[in-house]
Amino acid sequence: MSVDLQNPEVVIRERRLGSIVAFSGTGAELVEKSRGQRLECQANRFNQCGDCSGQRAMLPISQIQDTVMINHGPVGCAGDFGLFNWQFRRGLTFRGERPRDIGAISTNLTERDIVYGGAEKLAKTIREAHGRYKPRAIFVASSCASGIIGDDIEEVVNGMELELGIPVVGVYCEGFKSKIWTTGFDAAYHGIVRKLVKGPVEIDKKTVNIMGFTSLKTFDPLLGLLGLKPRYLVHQATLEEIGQMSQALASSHICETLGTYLARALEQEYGVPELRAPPPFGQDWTDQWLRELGRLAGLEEKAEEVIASERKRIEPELNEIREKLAGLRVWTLAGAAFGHNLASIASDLGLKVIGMLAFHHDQTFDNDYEEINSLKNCLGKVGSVNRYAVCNKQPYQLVNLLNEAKPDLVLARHGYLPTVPAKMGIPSYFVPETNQHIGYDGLLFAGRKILKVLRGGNFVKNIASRAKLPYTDWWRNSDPFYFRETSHGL
Amino acid sequence: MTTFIDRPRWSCALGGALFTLRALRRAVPIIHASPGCGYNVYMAGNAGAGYLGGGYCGGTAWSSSNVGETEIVFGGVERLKEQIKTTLEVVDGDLYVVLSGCMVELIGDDLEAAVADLAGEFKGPKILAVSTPGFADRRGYDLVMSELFRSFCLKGLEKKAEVINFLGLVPGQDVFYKGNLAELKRMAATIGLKANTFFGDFEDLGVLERASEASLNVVLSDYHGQLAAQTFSEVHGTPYLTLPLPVGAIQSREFLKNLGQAVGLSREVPKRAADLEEDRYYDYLERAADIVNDVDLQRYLIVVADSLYAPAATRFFADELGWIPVLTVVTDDLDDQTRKTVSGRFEGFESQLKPLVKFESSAIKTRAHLNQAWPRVGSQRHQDPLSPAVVVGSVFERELAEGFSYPLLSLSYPVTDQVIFQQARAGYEGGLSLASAALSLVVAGR
Repeated sequence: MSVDLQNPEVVIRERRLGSIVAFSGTGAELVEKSRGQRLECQANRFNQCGDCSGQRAMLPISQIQDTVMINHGPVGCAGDFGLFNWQFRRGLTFRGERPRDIGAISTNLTERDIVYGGAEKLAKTIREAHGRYKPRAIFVASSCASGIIGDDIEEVVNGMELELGIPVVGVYCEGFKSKIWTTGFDAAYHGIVRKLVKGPVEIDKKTVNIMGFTSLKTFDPLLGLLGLKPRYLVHQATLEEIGQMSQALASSHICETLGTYLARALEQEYGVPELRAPPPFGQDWTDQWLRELGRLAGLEEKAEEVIASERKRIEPELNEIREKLAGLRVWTLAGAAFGHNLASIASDLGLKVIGMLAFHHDQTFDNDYEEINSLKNCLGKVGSVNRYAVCNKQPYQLVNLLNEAKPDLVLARHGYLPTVPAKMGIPSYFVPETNQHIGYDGLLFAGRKILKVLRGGNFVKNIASRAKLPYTDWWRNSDPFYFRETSHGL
Repeated sequence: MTTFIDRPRWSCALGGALFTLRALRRAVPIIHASPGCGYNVYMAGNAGAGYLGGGYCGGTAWSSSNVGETEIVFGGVERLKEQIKTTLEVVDGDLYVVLSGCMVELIGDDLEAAVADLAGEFKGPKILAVSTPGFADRRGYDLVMSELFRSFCLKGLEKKAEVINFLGLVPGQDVFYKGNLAELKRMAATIGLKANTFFGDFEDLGVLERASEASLNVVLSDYHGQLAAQTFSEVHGTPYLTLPLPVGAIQSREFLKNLGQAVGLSREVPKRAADLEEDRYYDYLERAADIVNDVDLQRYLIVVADSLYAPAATRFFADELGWIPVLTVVTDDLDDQTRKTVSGRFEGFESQLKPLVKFESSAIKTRAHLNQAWPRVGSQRHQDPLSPAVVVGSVFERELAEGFSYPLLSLSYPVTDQVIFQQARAGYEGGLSLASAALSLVVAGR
C-alpha cells in the first residue's frame, strides 16, 4: 500500500500490512498463509498488557537533536520520559557528543481539560516549550484521551507553525488505535517525512540510510569496507541528517519491522531504493547485504573481495565459538523481524533454533519485495521452524510454550520478557543494542556474549529455585493458544 | 487551567494504583484500558523506582482488557467481563482489583456494574473495582487503599490500643518504601507498638483484612494517604494524624515522641527508646567526624524532591551534617492548603538554617531558581562561589549537577541510577544510610 502523505495520520498496520497478533503453527505455514494476507488479526479472551503504539511513536520523536516533544495527554503517558532521557544521553555519547537531556513535556490533561477541550492548553504549551528550549522543531504526539475528546491537534500544530516559524509536527497514534504497537514507529516516521524531510539537493551515492534505535557507530567500519558511510536514523540524528535522508544510495534497517514504512516513503517520494537484501545479521546475510550495496554502488567486484577477506578474517574465532555452542537448543523472543535476525545469528553460531515467538507478524512489508520477506529468509537459513508462535508479549503463553519446548537458551529483545524464562531457570541472552550485532564482527560479538551468559547461569538457577509464577495449575497444563477467539483459517 | 509538565516525576492514578497492588502480596490487578497503559506504567515505575521489577504478576504479565477501536466505539464492558472471568481462570490470587484507564472512563464503561454482574458466578476471592483514570487524580494509592479499607477490611473488630497503621508511603513513588516501612515498624516496636504497613516483609493480605483493629492511623505524607486515612476514619471510626516521614536521629526522636503522645504513652517511653537508638546511631555518625573535620566535607546543598523527602532531607543535612541548604525545590503539584502545610515543614530547624523553597514541577526551571537563591551562581569571579555543593534530587537533576560539577545523590523518583532493595532513608537506619551515601559521594575520588 502506498504511503499517503496528504493524510496527517498513518494507516494502521492491521489495514496496511495485514498484521496479526496471534498464530501458532510452523514457520512455513505462516509464510504460506501470509501470501495474499489471508490471516485475520484475532484477539484473545485473556490478555496481559502488551505494548503501547503511542509510546512507540513518542520514542523516536523524543530522540532528535534540537527538538522538543510534547505529549498531549494525561501525565501517566509521560511516565517513560525518564527512560527516553537516558537513551538520548547515552546515544549522544555514542556519537562522541556531550550528553544532554531531552526536551519532553506532557500537557497534563486533567478533568477540566477533558470537559472543556485541551486545544488551548496545547497551544499554550507549544508556545512555552518554544520559549524555554528554543527548539528548531516541535513534535506533538496524541494520546487516547486527546483522541477521544476530539481535540483538533492538526489545526493547533499548523497554526503554531505559522506563529513560531518552525516546523510543528503532529504525530497521531492513540494507544487504542492499533493492536500492533509498531504502528507507532510508522506514525512517527509519517510525521517526519511529511514535515522534516527535504527534497534532495545533490546526488549522494556514498551514504546509506540506516533506520535503527541507536547511533552506535558499528555501521561505519562495515560500510567503510566499500567506501560508503551510514546515516543513522532517527535516534540522536540532527535535523540536517533528517532533512537529507532523501539523498542516499539506499535505505536499510536493523529490522524490517522497524524501517519498512520509512524506507517505502523515501523510495516512493524521492526514489531512494530500499535495499533488497536481508539486514546484516549473521554471516551470509551480511554477504548478501554487501553484495546488494555493491551492485547499487557499482562496486560488485570490491564487494566480493571484501566478503571473502572478512569471512577469512573471522573464521578461526567463529569456528572456536561454534564448537563450544554446538548442539545447544535455542528459542527466540523478539518483535517480529528482529527475531529472524537473531535466528540468523544463532544458526551461524551453530545453535539449533527449536522455536520462535514473534510479538506480531506483518503479512507483508510496505515494499512487498520477496528479498525482504524476513520470515522466508529466516526459514531458508535455519530450516523449518516447527514451533512458530505469534503472541503480543504475553508471558502466560510464553510460560507454556517454553515449558513444552524446554530450550537451553532464549535469545531475546524487549524488556521484561526474558524475566519469564529466568524464573523458569532458562538463561537468556538479551540484546540491548542492535547495532552491536551487525556484520561479521557482530556475529563474533554475539557468540562471545552468549558464551559469557552460559557461564553465569547460576543467577538464573538461584532465582528460579525460589520464584513463583502467578499461573494456576489448570493454566500450566493448557494449550498456550486456548484463549484465541476463533480458529479461523488456522 | 492546570499547567503542563516538563518530564513528570509521578505517574497517573492508574500507575499509583498498579504499584500499590504490586506491593500487596497476592493481590492481582485487572486493568481495563488500552494495551499500553500497564506496560508504560511498568517501564516507568520499574526503572524510576530503583528497579522495582514486575513482581508476582506485573510487568507485561499484568492482566489487561486491551481495548481497541471497536470497544472505544461500542463500549468495553463485555470485553472487561470476559477478561475478569479469564483472569480468575489463569492467574492465582487472593484478591482481584479492576482498575480503569482514561479511555474506558471517557466512553462511560461502568466498572462496578461489570463486577456486580459477575458476582453471582464466582465464589472465593473478592473482586473489587476502582476507577483510576489518569486525567482525574494522580492519587492512585489513595483510591485503591480507600476502596480496600471500605470493602476488604473486616468491620466491627475490636480496636487494640497497641496496634497502629502506617499510611502515605506510595510504593514506587517512594523508591525506598520497603526499607522505610521496615524501619518505621521497627521504631514503633521500640515503644511497644505493633505497626501494620501492608507492604512490608512477611505482611500479607491478612494484615490488611484486620487493619481495622488499629487504634490509630499515622499518615507519613502531607499529600499521599490523607484521603485513605479519611476514608478509614469514616468507615471504621479510627482517628488519624500526620507525622511526616522522619529522617535521622533528630526527626526520629520527635517522631517517637509524637507517636507516643498520640497513643497515650508516658513521655518516658519514647525518650528511653530514642536514647537507646541514639547510642547506636552516634556510634556510627561519630566515625565520620574525623574525616569530615580533617578534610572539610561540609557542602552547600540543593534539594530537588517531592514533598515527602524535600523538607525531611533538607532538615537532615542542615541539622545533622551542618550542610548549608541553599535551594530546595518541592516537585509535586500540590493544592494550596497542602502547599502551605509543606512550606511549614521548613520552619524551625534546630540549625536555624532555611533554604529558598520553591514549588516547581518542571526540571528545567531549577537553574533559574538557583540563580535567584545564589545570584551569579555560575560565575567564577563571584567572591563567594556556590562551591563545593551537592545536589540531592532525582536523575532529572543530572544535567544541572553536571553543569556545575556537583555530585548528585538521587533520593526522589525517578531514581534510575541505583538498584534499591531493602535500603531505608527514613528513621535511624535511613539517616545513617543517607549520611553514608552522601559522604561516600564526596570521598568517591579517594
